[in-house]
Amino acid sequence: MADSSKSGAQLNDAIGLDVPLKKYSEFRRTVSVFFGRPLPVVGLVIITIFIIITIFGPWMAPYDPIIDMDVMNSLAHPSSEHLLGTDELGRDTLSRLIYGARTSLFIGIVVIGVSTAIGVFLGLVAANSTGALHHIIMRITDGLMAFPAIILALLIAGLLGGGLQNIIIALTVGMVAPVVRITCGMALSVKENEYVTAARAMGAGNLNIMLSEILPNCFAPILVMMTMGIGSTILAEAGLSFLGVGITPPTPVWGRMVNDGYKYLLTNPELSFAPGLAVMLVVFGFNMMGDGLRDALDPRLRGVV
Amino acid sequence: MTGYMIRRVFMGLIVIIIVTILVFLLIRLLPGDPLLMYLTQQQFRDTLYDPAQLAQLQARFGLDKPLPMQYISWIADMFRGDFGESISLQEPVSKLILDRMPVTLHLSIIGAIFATVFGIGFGIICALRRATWLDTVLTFMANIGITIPSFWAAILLIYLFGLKLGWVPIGGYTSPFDDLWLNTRQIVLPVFCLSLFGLAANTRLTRSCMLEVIAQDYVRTAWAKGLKERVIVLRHIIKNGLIPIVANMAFLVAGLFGGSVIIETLFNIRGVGRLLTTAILGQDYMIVQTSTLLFVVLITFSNIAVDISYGWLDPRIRYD
Repeated sequence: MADSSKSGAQLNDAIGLDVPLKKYSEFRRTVSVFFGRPLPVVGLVIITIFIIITIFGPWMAPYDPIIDMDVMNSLAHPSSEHLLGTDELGRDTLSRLIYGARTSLFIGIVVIGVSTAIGVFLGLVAANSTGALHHIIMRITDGLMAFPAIILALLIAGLLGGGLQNIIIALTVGMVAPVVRITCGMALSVKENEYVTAARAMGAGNLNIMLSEILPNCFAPILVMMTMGIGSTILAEAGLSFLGVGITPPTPVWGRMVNDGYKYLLTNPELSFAPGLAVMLVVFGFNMMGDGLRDALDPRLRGVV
Repeated sequence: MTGYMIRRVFMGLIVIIIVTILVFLLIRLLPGDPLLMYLTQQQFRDTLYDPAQLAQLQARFGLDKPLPMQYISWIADMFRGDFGESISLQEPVSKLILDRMPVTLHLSIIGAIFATVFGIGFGIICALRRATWLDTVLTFMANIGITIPSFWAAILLIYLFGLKLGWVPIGGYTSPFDDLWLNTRQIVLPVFCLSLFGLAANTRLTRSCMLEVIAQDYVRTAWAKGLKERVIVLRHIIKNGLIPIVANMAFLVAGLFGGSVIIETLFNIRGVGRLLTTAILGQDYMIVQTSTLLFVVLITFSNIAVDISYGWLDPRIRYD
């Protein structure tokens, strides 16, 4: 360029570009991709409603889910008094559904929070160690992955006994292994990048590289996995409580409500249908949101979607 | 290739050893004493159990020895074909499982074929007719399929086809050699519910893999050469697009065995899944450890088979 004193505006004129250069924001791009398609938005709406119900449930539920037994009105069909009818003890199905949402979401969040923390830690350790430690962690992970999730959870919950805490432990054990495997795989591939070599050349230690170089670059797949994981945890918990292993009655949980209602399928099908539909909607919400996040965060899909 | 196969089989054997240790430790170390439960069930709950009788039972089941010895004798017994005796049913576990395994395998194999054939088929249709109403409908159904709780799908289908329409019986299992027609009607719903998740997952996976392959340069070249659509789809797209689906087969098997626990209980089918559920609820741990191990070992074997065929389909994998 001959005249180095030309300002940016003049340069723009010179190359015939009259659009001001906008600052590129990765965050804004991700958000616009996510909201650009219908299904992730549907998922987000479902999850938002679900969260509102869990927070404001006690004010929204028309009856108490446990002690309000309208025995004269047991197994009532939907009416203006009981919008979704009542169960065999005369408890209001809608109120039990609303309170059941709290248990589901609580278990989903705690299980995924704990298992992600443990799994990411073990995955990073495995990726950064060679020899015995790496093989011990990864082979135990392989072993745990060979169990069907529901059987492992059923086994642990069955032996520990019911109750909220034991269900959380049982589901967490099954959720850790996939997190370890994915984190370790991601970390190993991130480690090959030049910026990690550069950080090492500048004198960064192992721990520093792990936390400030590798972990942030594994963030996107871990976030997607957590979103979908909450959905599959809720599904697994419903399966466990359906089989009668799980939160002890009379606390309302969706899986057990489906099973309790199954006895009255011919006369009161809504007793089984309603809680199952609730499980399905919530899991659908988390899955679609996870799908949307994955597409929006995946750098290979940049410009495609 | 031979070296790769040997490595995979070796890794699989290590996983099986780890799995035996996991199953063994889980059952021994978690609280809940099956013998105590057995004794208190035998005598009435208000009478106290007899410590001498407990010690005698512990000796009979080998539970008085230290853990490593128990583990070794458990493994040694299994190699001799002795899988222990059920505490509550008073029958050899091997007999209980052998009676029920054909039923579970029957349902799982038909379920696997169903999920694979229709899942891949729907996925191919979606990818080839991308962004048409057919694609939208099938993809939406697949999204529902991976979401719907299998027990709830089962209950909906029982209500509709069993109770309202009366087309199929709502449970039970008759051997196909006794009454093939009754058997077919009995297993339609359980097999469908078992394979629903795998079917939907396969559809989604096939669709996305096929779309990836369709965008490749060699597919464009094939079009440019003037090949027929049928040849391009079969030779160039499907052959390469299916490699990840093969990798997913092991998850399919795990899903089918996991699902059998719920579906067999719900449809009242005497299979290993229901045996396992009742054994876990009744803390009959001889049955629990053997049937869990059986499932996990079968899944590990299918994993090895998948890995080997994967390496054969995609030579790049072998050098990982």
